[in-house]
Amino acid sequence: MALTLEGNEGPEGADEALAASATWLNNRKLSIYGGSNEVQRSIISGALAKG
Amino acid sequence: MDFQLSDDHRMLQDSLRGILTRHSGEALMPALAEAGVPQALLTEAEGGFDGSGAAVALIFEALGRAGASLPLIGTMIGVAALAQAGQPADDGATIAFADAEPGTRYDRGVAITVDGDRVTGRKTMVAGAEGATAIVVTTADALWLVAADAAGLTVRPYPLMDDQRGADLIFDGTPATRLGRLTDFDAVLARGVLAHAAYALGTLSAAVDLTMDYLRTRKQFGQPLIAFQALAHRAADLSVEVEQARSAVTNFAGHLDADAPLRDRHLQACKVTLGRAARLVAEESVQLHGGIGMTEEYALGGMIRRLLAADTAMGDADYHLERFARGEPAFA
Amino acid sequence: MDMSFTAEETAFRDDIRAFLKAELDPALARKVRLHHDLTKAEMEGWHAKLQSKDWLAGNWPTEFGGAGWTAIQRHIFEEESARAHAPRIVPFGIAMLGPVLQKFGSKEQQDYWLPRILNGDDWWCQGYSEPGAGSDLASLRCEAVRDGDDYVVNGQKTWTTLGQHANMIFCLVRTNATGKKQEGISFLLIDMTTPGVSVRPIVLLDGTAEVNEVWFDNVRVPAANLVGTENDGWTYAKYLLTHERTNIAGVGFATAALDNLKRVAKAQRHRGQPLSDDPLFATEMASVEIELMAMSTTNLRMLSAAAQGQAPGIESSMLKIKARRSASVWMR
Repeated sequence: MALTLEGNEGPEGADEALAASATWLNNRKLSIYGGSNEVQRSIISGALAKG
Repeated sequence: MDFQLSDDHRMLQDSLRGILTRHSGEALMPALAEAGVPQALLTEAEGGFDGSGAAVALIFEALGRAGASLPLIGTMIGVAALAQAGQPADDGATIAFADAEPGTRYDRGVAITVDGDRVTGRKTMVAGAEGATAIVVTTADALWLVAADAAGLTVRPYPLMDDQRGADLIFDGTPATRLGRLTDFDAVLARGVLAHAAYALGTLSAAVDLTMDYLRTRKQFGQPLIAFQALAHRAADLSVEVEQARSAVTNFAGHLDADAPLRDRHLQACKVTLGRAARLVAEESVQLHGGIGMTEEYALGGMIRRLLAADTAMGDADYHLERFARGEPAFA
Repeated sequence: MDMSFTAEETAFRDDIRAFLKAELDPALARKVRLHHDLTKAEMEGWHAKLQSKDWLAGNWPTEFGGAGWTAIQRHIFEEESARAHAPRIVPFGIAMLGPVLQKFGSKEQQDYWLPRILNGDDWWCQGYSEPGAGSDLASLRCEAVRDGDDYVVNGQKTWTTLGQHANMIFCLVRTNATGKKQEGISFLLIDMTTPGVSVRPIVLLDGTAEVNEVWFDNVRVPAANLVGTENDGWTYAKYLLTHERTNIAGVGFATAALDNLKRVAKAQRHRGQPLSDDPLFATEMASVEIELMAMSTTNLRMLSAAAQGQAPGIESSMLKIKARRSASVWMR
């Protein structure tokens, strides 16, 4: 699957759409890496629990 | 760029907190007046000494946090509008702001019409109308002043959802003084919107704090509720949205005196953010409490009613979202 | 409170803009905008251009060769860079290892490694996660056993971003398998050209191969490459994670994505009209923009608080949660 096209091989005018799709796919990592968002919620609620 | 309060504003905040701890009910308004709080909502040209976004935001956030339901916003808008129109209000005037109309979702001039210098029609959910000395009324494109004892004005009072007294106003050829075009008063009206938003911020902060206290102390299955992940993560999300709401109020307060297009973007964004945060906080805080959150005697109920009322004041989240999306001004 | 830029901040922004205009190759900016993979040379070239202005390490104090920028300045730099589609600064040396060495490294380590980061002599990657240690990072098993003046490292790391370009990796390794799992972890700097290190790419669902698996098979690492104290690595790791997260909200990138989206939505047609005029689309886009406006200020408020000595704690966790929302702009 060639989502990150080099040059012009791909549907006409699709550069932006492909970039958006690829970035969206790649951005799924944001809520996983560096401690998943669920881990972050546990950190926040742990602090809240102490008051 | 600086997010710190000035020394003056910190002193104002301290004095306000003191008053709100010591006074409530009937005694609150005189205490606030004695401390000069109403004047802090007004510029020098309007007979006050501040009127900045920061001052308005911190005052109404504190009132919201304390759960004080006062018809201060109408007087703030009214006194400022009258000053701008060159017809200063009497000292000690209390002014109601009549904006919402029955049968329409925030359109103006639908239920009320103007013929010469007389208005006919209805306004609804007007806070503080009973004790007001005057009423400032919006129509399709203008702002009007109506005396409280004007001929052809009927006031039908009832309790509002947020524990204030409100009323339907019925105008029948009621004499009125035209103050000017609505758009000429956009800065004054924007200050009113900021007051409602900041009040909502204080209210939802208090609701979230109360919820957190409850999660820490209420035990089920032998453990405090906060120990249960399903609840803890929802509590964490709530605390994040409180920060977002605070940022939206900060943005708008910081741009209250900016050029109208930029100010209005922040006004609309603020109303949208607060309206949504208020709804989320209302729903989640009741759910996290469980049954006790449904009762009238518990403090949460009043907070939630005040949140819902603040959202609908001067256009709700959906109204301002649409105008933001269309690139329209806040008032037209 | 003041939401406008000071004269100094405006001048700073103009400097950044002028630099980006003069130094950022449009072909490179296009690759960034279209999410094409950049070559190692392209990333290093951009770092070198920034370093020629002493702007590569905006977050480092000047005593270590950084720019010593305020939170506001860093925000301005990130937003302007993102909107110009400049390559993102590779974070591993600058944003992650640098602050750890400055806080916990020895004088010798600081003198040796920090200039090499700025000069691009080393390309760092991060050896944290393992196949069996993701969210539960402290359960990591990659072990380092002291043998004379060396540690001998055996085990596996994974999700090693840009590890294919790296010659150095900072690793969390297990130096004590007894007792509490957090208390047996050390922070080790490993030369990836040492015999026994192997790297294999992992292809992701977007077709890229920016992450890797890294294996260590009896890799000898000089004990001088231990940062801080043996078995205290967890403290340094947590410090690093909070530093990493203060930039994690991704406001600049989301703002750039929104700019992009607005441009595309004007050009694309829907029912014979520009997509940007479609009420449903415009409202969705407005919602994202409004959330971003609040997030930008939440980010700044928290960075400013951190700069005034309040260590980023749960604030960085809050920002990370919102990053996912801000990134949603990509698929509107």
